[in-house]
Amino acid sequence: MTDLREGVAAQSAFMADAPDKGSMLLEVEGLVKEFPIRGGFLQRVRERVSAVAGVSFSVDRGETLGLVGESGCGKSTTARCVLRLIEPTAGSVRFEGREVTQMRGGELRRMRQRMQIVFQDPYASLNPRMTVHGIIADPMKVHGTYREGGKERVKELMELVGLKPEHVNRYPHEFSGGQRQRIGVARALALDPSLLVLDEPVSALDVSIQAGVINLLEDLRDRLDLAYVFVAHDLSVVRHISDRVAVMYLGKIVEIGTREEIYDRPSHPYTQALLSAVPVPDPRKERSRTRIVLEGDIPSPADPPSGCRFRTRCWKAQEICAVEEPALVDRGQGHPSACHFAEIQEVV
Amino acid sequence: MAPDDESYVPVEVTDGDVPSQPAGAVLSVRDLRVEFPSEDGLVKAVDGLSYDVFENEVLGIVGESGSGKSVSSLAVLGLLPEKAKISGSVVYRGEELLQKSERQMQALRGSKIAMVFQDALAALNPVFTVGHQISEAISTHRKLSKRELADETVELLDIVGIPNPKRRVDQYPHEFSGGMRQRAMIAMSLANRPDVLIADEPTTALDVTIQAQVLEVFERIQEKTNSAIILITHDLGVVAGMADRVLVMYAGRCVEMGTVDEIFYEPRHPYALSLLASLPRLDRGGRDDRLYRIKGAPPSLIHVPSGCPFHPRCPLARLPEPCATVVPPLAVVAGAEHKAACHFSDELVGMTVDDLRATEVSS
Repeated sequence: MTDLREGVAAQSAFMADAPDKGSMLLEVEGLVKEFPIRGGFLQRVRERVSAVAGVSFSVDRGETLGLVGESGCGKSTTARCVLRLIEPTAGSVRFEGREVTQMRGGELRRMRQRMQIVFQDPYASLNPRMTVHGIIADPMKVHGTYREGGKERVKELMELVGLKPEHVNRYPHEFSGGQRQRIGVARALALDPSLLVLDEPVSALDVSIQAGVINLLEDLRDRLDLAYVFVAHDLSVVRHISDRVAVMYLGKIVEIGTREEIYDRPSHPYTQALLSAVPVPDPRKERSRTRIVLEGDIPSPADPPSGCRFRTRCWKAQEICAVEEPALVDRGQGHPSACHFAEIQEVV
Repeated sequence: MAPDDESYVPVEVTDGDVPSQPAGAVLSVRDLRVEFPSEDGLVKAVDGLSYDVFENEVLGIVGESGSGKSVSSLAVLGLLPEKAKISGSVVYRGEELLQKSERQMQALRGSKIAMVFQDALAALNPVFTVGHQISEAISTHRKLSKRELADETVELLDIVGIPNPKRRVDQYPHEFSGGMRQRAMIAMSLANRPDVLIADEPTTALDVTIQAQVLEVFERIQEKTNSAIILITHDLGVVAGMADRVLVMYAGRCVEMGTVDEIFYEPRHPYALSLLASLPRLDRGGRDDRLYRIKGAPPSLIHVPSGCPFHPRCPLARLPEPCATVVPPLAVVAGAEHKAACHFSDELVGMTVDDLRATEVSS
């Protein structure tokens, strides 16, 4: 802890131009990503899967947006489209006032200094043949900022994420899972970004290690005024870290709101089912809770249901749900919900 | 007490020193030790584990990766590789399992004691239909006519909530979704109405809405049969909802055991309390809440810390004496069966998760 604070103090030089809190940093509108399915002898495109089917959200400076949903809902694809690690098929991504989807060359590189990603698997995302120094210094070398005090910067960053700077010449295999994830965070911070995309950053870690990394992410956010797009399937972790939460199902956001709105006043049936399905480590509460158990599985995104995509598993579904796609708008619950029959129900 | 099933192969117990079981216990494990030789030294995966499982109860075994929770259950079933050195005792209904031959264990596995594995895709054979594999599980232990076999297979799929079981029975594993495969695995494990069902992280690979479906299947099994269920998991939420009693493992040992309420509301081992304090909660808290951070990392099983294995990470540890020098015995701390292995478990009386979290803020 104390190490971290000192590290942050040493960091202040990088924070001289900290912008105002509350202004919009990232704005995503109508984001679509289609993947072709090829087949046959000539590998022709047979059909298209919409992994992300029109997603819109925004993130303010210093704010954390949680992106939750089950596997295949498009949350990781959305996050990667924002960084253009995957090229979006359609839609707009505005970051710090500029359109990201049209950027090329130098402009795209400069944008990426301000927007970085931390991956899920700390075993796969660090080059085993590079030392920690090499890993953390790499982004600076790529972007040409290493020459001016890069070596000191690496040590500062290691202190900042709670690693010992004297371990700078060690290799990834000499670190535990939690420490490796800290290396990944240090690398992402090397270029002084304003936005971090965190793709399941703690789900590969043991329970006793998770808390340390979550606390670190919270400290860094508060002290460096970072904004996070926090992608995760663990709804408890997302509640803990997020200011606002977007719930995704089959490529679309079904409900979006502040942490309290989503967890205490969910209005979309899918959000309610999702929350009620998460077991809480509280036996008495577990015994008294009623669980909404959904029928069946998530439909294939290659052939999504007509109208509302959730209707095939929804207990409220009526005729209109198959015909008319519900828009993501406020239906009197105080926050947007994409359900014709949106109604607040407490489930946690 | 001998099982009444005809197909069961009786075993002569050589010496008369099979430990006696408490009344109602189906399976009793005593001082179980499992060691693996490795290039770096001896891996002590399980180090003196003892527990009983009673009829009709769910025993939750919780711990992190490398705590020995899976290895101990594989040892019970005799499924460990030959290089593993196993000692201690595993008694099933008065019979010592560790002395049984492979053939005798085969007769027991899948009939009296069955297991559900985490990765259903790896556990199912991709070239046979799901129905074929379930039928095989039945016919290995019981002689049934073709008709009866087919009927029972469909019935099993129906019990675990697979829609359209008559059609699904002829499909291959790849045609099943993840949740359905796991349910097919459960159907297979239930095929011969086992006394003991060991489920090793049965929902870990599943999405949360699918996990809810599978947990519901376990609840149904509990209502309809007298099977004892051993539920191995790292998810404290799943344990809170499913288990009657809980065993907490750390570094191959049991560090605390008690009813689910005792473990969650009055934990008497610092590891159990620390784990609870480190968990983000779905039902409360938010941005300003601090999680308790357990320092360090889980120990290597080759160089297990001296004394209490948790002492390097423990908020209460007195060093070096006694925590780093004396192994604390697993002793009764409250009530009849609430046990903890900590020298200072008394100091945890009345201590809550919030007390531990508060230390994190001020540090």
